[in-house]
Amino acid sequence: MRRNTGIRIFSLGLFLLFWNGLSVLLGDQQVLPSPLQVFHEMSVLWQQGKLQENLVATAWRVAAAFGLAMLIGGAFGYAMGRSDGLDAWLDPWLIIFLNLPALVLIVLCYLWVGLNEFAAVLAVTLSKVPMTTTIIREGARNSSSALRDLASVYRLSLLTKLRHIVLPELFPHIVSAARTGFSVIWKIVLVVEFLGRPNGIGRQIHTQFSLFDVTGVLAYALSFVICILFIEFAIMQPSEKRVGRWRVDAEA
Amino acid sequence: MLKLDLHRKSFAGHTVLEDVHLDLKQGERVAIFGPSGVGKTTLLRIIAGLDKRFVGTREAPDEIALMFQNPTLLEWRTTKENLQIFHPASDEQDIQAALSQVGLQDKADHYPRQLSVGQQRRLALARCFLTPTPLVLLDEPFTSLDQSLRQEMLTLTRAFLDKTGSALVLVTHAQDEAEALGAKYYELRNAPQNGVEFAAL
Repeated sequence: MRRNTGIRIFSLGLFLLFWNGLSVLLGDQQVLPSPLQVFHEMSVLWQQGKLQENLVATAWRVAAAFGLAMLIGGAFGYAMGRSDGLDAWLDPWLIIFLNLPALVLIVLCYLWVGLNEFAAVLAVTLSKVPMTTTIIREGARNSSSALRDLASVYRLSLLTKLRHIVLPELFPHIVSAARTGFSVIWKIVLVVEFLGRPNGIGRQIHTQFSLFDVTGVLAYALSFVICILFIEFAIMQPSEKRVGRWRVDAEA
Repeated sequence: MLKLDLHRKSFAGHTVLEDVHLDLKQGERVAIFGPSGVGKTTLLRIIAGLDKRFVGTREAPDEIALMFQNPTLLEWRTTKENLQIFHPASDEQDIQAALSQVGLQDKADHYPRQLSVGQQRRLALARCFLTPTPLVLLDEPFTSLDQSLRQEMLTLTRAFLDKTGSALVLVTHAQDEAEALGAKYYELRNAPQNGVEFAAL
């Protein structure tokens, strides 16, 4: 369990109070609705089924882009970390893609591939792959050559090597790539939806924006943030803890 | 059984090993002695088949056991799993027996970081000898150990070797280790012209 849980919960409460106070002070719910109004809007949208529908659409895109980016970036990163020659060839490309703004990638993908689901997921994947590659490459560079030698002399199968040596060794880097990847991807997905998808949280924010409906914007945004926090605490952190058991030293 | 005719091994144009010939019979034990940087580890890597970029020929059994100076354990796997992964054919009983032999029978479910330095070394030793192999290669496994642990490791290694009847190539810079393991003893001089002939007895 995290330390100072009480303080954390109390601090969250303070944030809601602060928001509420600001809303009362401004006195205009068109500009800043109170938390209660936003929660009410969320429940209305939920009852209409709109919230679930758009959350699922966005979550699907996030999951697809995340999975693809981790796989492709992981493979490239590992290969580049292990081979200096390959690294020299691909590194300039990596730098170009690392510095290409996501917005440019999105617009280009839509222009070249068309306004469809494939283009949307492709754009998000492409904007995340270079980051994953960079992080996994760092891990592969630091991998133990002695373990590889041992695996080779004992003639371990490829699957055994992957499962018991390569992946556990890369695990901290995979987690950190997943962490940063996840938080970046869901933000880019919203932009992709904003610019050219008929559904999803990003599309709804676009609609609410044209209606000047701040409550609607906040309701959609907040519900997505809650989903992200849920994934963070229910999936990311526990799995990290479970796999990190071996780090406990003799003294602990 | 092991036959190495090494004419030349060089790194970036610089000759590290030259004219090293090794011919080992079954169960024969040799120790290669020499100062640091003389190419002992390079030679061992060639014998192990890890380094194939050399001029010469190598004939060696498929099954080789290897141990380094560092225990080189899978820190993310338990003691038991560390043995299982490298010896997939061994069963629960073999693993328990191997752990008992090195005094780790109570540590089967511990992770390497929860073991003392000595226990980690003994685990590496158990991994090296769990499945009898015709050839065992040891790369300074007794270096930088305190005296009592070193003696213990040497005694254990000797017992394992006597039991499995494996041939041994030990790389070391301590002469007494060769004697403790009953190994014939060769010196590797500085290259070029190492001129080592590890002739058969």
